[in-house]
Amino acid sequence: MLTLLQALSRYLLRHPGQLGLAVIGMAVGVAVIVAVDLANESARRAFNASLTAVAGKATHQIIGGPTGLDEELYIDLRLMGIRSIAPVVDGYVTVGGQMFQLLGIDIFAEGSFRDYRLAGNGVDVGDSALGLLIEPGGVLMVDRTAGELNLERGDAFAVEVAGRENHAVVVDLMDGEETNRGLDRVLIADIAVAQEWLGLVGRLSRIDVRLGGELQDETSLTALAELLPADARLVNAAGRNRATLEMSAGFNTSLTAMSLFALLVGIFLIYNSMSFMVLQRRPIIGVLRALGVTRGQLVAALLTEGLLVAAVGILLGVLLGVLLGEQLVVLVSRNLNDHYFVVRVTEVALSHSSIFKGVAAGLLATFIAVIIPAMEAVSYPPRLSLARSVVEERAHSLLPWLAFAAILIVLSAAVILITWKVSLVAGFVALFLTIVGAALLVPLVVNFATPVLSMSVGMIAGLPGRMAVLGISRSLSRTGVAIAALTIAVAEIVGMGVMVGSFRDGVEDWLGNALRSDIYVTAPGPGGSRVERRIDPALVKRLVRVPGVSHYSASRRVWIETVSGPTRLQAVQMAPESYAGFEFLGGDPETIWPAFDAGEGVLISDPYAYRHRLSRGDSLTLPTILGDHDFTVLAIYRDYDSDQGVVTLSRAAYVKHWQDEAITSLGIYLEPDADNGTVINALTQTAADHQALLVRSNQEIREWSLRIFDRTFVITDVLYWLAMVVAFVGVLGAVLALSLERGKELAILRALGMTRAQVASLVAIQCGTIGLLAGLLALPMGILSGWLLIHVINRRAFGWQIDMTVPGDTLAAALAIAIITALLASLYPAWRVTRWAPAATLREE
Amino acid sequence: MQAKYRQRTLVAALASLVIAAMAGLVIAAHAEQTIRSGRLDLLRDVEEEGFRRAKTVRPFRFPEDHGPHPGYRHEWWYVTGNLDGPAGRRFGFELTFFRLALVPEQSEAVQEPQSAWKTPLAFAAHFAITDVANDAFQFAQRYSRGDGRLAGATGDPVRVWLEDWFLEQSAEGWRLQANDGGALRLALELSAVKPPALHGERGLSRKSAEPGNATYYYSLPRLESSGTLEIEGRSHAVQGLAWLDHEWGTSALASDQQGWDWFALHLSDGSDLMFYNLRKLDGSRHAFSAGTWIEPDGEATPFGAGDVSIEILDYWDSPLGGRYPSGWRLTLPARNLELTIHPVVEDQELNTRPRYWEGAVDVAGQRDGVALRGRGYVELTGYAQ
Repeated sequence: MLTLLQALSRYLLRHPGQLGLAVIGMAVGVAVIVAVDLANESARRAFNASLTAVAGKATHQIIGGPTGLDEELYIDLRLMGIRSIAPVVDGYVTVGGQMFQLLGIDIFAEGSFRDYRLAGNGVDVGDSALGLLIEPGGVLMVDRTAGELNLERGDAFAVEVAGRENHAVVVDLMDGEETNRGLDRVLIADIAVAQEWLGLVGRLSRIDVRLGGELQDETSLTALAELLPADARLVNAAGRNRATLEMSAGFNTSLTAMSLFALLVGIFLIYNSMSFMVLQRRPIIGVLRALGVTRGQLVAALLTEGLLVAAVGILLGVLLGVLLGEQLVVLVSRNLNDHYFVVRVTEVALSHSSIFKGVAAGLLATFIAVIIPAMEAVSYPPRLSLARSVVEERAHSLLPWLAFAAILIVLSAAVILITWKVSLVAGFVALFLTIVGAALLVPLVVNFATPVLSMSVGMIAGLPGRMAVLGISRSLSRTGVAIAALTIAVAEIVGMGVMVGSFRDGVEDWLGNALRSDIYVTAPGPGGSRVERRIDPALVKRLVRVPGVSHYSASRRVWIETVSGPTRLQAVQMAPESYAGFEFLGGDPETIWPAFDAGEGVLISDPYAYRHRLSRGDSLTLPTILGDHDFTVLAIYRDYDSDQGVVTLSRAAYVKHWQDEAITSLGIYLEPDADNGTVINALTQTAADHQALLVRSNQEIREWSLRIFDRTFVITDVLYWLAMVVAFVGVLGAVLALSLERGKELAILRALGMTRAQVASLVAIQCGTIGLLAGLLALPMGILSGWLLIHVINRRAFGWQIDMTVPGDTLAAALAIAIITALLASLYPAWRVTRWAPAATLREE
Repeated sequence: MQAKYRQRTLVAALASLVIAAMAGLVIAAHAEQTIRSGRLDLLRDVEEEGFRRAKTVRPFRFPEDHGPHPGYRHEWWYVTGNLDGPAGRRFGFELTFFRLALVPEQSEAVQEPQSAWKTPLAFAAHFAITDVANDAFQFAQRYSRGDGRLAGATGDPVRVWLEDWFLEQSAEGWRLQANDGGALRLALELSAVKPPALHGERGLSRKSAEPGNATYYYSLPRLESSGTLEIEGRSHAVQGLAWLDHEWGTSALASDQQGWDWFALHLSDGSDLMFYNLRKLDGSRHAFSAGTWIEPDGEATPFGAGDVSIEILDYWDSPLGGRYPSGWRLTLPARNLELTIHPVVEDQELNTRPRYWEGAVDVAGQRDGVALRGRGYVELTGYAQ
C-alpha cells in the first residue's frame, strides 16, 4: 500500500500547482462553514451566557405586562413568608455610546440567586454590596468592561437612559471569569437606582423565583401562582430564555445554509482537482493494474491520497475559519442587535462542534469527489486506461444519464417543497437539490451549445477561436465540472441579488407608504429592537404645541410575553393621514377601520399571521393586565418592520387593557406653510432641557431604515463572494489542467507556426467562453433560486412576503463577473503555455 | 469625588464592622474576613460624622422610647426567654432585631420621583430555639433593607419587623412571631411584670472612658409569656418568662476590648439581675463592665465592675472553633448573693456572621443564706475563632 501510494504520489509532487489548488479550494470551503458556525455559536453562547448570568439560579420568574409588575406584589409575597424570591429591575442604558444592560437588584435578596465574584480575591460581594446601597449611583461591573471604558474603582461616569444623563460611580469591580462570564455588558446597581434611572419607580421588571426553601415542589409553585394578580404570571425561566433565543432561529439557520453553498461549490472544485489528478495518472494506473494491483487496492490508495490532501486543506480551512469567524461574528452580532436581542460577543468561542462540522463536511466532500473518479479510473481494462479519448467518450455517453438524474433531483425538490410546507430546513434542502440538479444539466447544455458558439466565435477570432471553443466540449469531463462550479457560484449571486433587490424594493415601497408624518419624535435608545423607550408625558404636551405643528399621531411600542414567546405590541393613536399607511392584505378598509377605532379587535402584520397561522376573523389571546383576553384579528397588513411580527391595536384599547399611558414615538404633521427644518429645531429646543429626543424628518427615517436594511445583508454579500473565490480557484484549476493535458497539442500548434500570442489567446478565448457559458447558464438558475429564496426561504425563515422583481443590472453584472472571473483565471495558464519550448514538450511525450 | 467616595466606602466598611463586633448585622461573608484580617482596629479611631451619639443622660418616655431612634447608627431589640411546654418539656428562645443606619439618615427633602427602595437602613434578625429535651438548638437569620415595608421599626404603634418576623406592642402588652421558613414557628404574647429598668446612669450605659462611646440602654426585665411553639411538626402550648433589651447608640468596642459576657437572670424570689462583663484582650474584666439589680417591685440599682466576681466552672469547645466558658459562679458580695449558672444545652452557638453563643441557662444559689433558683439567658461574644 505504501509503495502504491509512493508510486502514485510521485506525480502529485511534480505538479504542486494542482495540489495547491485542491488544498485551497478545500480550505476556503471548510473555512466558510467553520466561520459561520463559530459566529453563530459565539453569538448564541454570548447571549446565553448573559441570560444565564442575569437570570442566575432562578428556576422560575414572575413576569407582568409591558411595564412589568407592581413592586407591592413582591413585598406582599415576602411578608407572607415566601423568601425564595428576588426582585429585579432591568433595562438598557448607554455608557460612552455603548449599550449596557442595567440590572437592578436587592442585594439582601440576592444570596441564592446570583454570584457576584469580585475581581482580585474572588470573594463574594460584601462591602461592595453596602457600597451599592450607600453610594448614590453606585454600580458594579466586570473588570474587563471597566478596562474598556477606562474606569477604575471609585471613578464617576455618566449613564445615559432615554436621553437623560445619570451620575454613576464604580463601587467595585467583579471578576469577569467563571460565573460572571456573560456579565460583560451588564451594570449591576441597587434596585432603587435602577428604578430611578429607568423611570420605573414603583415597578419591577420581574421577580426571580427559585425552587427550594419554602418552595419545595410543583405544588408550592401552583400555590404561588394562585397568589398572583391577573397581570402577573409565573413562567419557567429556562423556557423564557429559550423563547428569546428562538427569535433568531430563522436567521441562524439561513446563515448555516448559506455557508453550505460555499462548500457545495467547494465540492465541485475538489472533485475537479481530484478527478484531474486521477486522470493524469491513467498511464501509471494502467501499468499498476497490468502489474496485478487490484481495483480495490487502487481505489483505497487513491482515497487515502485524496484524504491526505484533504487533511491539509481541512487543517488550513479550520485555521482560516477561526480567523474569518472573528470577522463574521461582528456582522452576526450586529444583525442580532439590530433585529432580535441585545448581545455583545466578546470572544469567538472555539467550539469543538463547529470545528467538527467543518472537518466532517470537508471529509465527506473529499470522499464524494475522489470515489467517483477513482472508481471510474479503475473501471477500464488496464490497456484502455492509457487512452484519454476513452474517458471523454465515456463522459459524453454519460450525458443522457446526467440529464435523467438532474430531472429526478429537481422533481424530488418539488416533492419536498409540497410535502413540508413550512419547514425551513426542507426549504433549503429543496433549494440545494434544485441547484445540484441544474448543475448536472450543465455538461449537456455545454455539449449542445459549443458547436453553435464555436461558429460565432470562429467568425470573430478565426480558426484558433473555433478550436478553443470546440475544445471545451471535447474535454467535457474537465470543463463540465468547472463550468458547473462557476455556474453555481454566479447563480447564487443572481439569486441573492434578485432576492435582496426585490426585498429592498418592497421595503422602500412600504416605507414610502407607511411613513406618513412629516417629522418623527422618539426617545433615543441604544439601538436594538427590545429597548424600552418612552417620551415623558409632560413633554408630549409641550411638543405638540410647538408652532408649525398641525396635528400628530402617537404610538406606544412594547413587548409582552405570551405563551409562544415575546410578542411585539404596537398601540397607535391615529392621525387622519395615518390610516392610509396600512396596506391590508384582504378585507375592506371601510369596515375594518371603524371596528379598529372602536377597539373591537387588532390588526396583525403579515409575518405575525404567517408565524402564528392566523387569518382574518381568527381570535388571538393576549395576556392583559386584567388577565388573558381574546382579540379578534380584524385584518392582516403588509409590514417589514419585524420578522417576529407585530400586533397593532388602537391606543384607547391598549390603555384600557394594559393601563399604560406612555408614548414611544410621535408622528408630527406640519401646518401647510411650516418649514420642516425650523420645526425640527423648535422641537429639539423644546425637549432640550428635559429629555434629549431624536427628532427626525420623514426622509431621515426612511434613509436610516434602508441603511439598517443594507447592513443586514452585508453578511450575505461576504458569504457569496467567498463562494466566488472558491469558484475562481475551480476555474483556474480546470484551465490549468486543460492546458497541461493539452501540452502536446499546443506544442504541435506552436511547431506548426502559431505564435506565443496566438496560443495564449487560444487559452484566453477558451476561458472566456467557459465564463460566458457559466454566466448564461447562471441566469435562469439564479432567477429560479431567487424565486425559491423569496417565496420559500424568506417566507419560512422570517415570514416576509415579497414581490419578485428581476433587476436587469444584477443579471448583466453576474454575466460580467462570470466572464471576468474566467478570464482572470486564464492569465496564469496562458502565460505558462507561452513559456514552454515546443520541442521539449513534444519530446517528453 | 475620589476622596469623598473613599471616605464613604470607609464609612460603609466601618458600619458593617461595628455591627459585626456587636454580634449583629453583617451583610455577607466578607465582613467575617474583615474581622479576621484585623481591620477591626480601623474602627476605633474614627469619628462617625453625622451620627448622633449617646453622650448625656436623657429622659426616657414610654411607649415612645420602645420605638426606633433615628440618627443613631445602630439599635437593637433583644428578646430572650425560657418556656415550659406540656409535660415539663422545656425550651429557650431568642428573637432579636438589629437596625443599622449605613449612612446618617437624611431629613432633607428628596427629589421626585423617589424609589421606595431607597433607604440608608439595613435590618437583621436572629431567631433561635433551644429544645432541652432533645439537647438540640436551631437558629435562623435574616437580612433586609429597612425600607419600612420589608423591614422597619415604628414608634406609633411600637413595632419592629423583618418580613414576617415581628415584635410589637399590643393592647395587652407585647406580641412576637418568628419562624425558620420551615417547621419551626414561635408566636408569643408577652406582658411586662415590671416597669422598664434603666441601666447605667439613668439609661446612659458607658462602654469606655471616651465620651459618646456609650449607648442608651433599658430592659423590660420580666415579661410573662405564653403562646405556641411549633417544632418538628408538633405544636406546643408554652409559657414562661422573657427579657427584652432595647439599646441604641453610635459606639463601638474600645480598642482594648475583646468581647463581652452578658447575663440576664430571673431569680425565684422575684428579683432580676443583668450584668455585662466587658473582656479586655487578655481576658480580664474591663473597668466599664456594669450591671443592674432589679427588685421584685421593679426598683433598679446599677452596680459596677468591682461589685461582681465571676469564676468560670467549665468550658465548651465549639466544633466550629473557639472555646467558650460554659458554667459560672457569680458572686455579688454587697448583696450577699452567690449563684451557679449552667447552660441547659452546651451547644447554643449561632453560626451567624459573626458567630456568637446565646443560650438558656439554669441558675441555683443563695441570697442571705436562703436558697434560690432561677433561669436566664447568657450571651458570649468574641470567642469564635
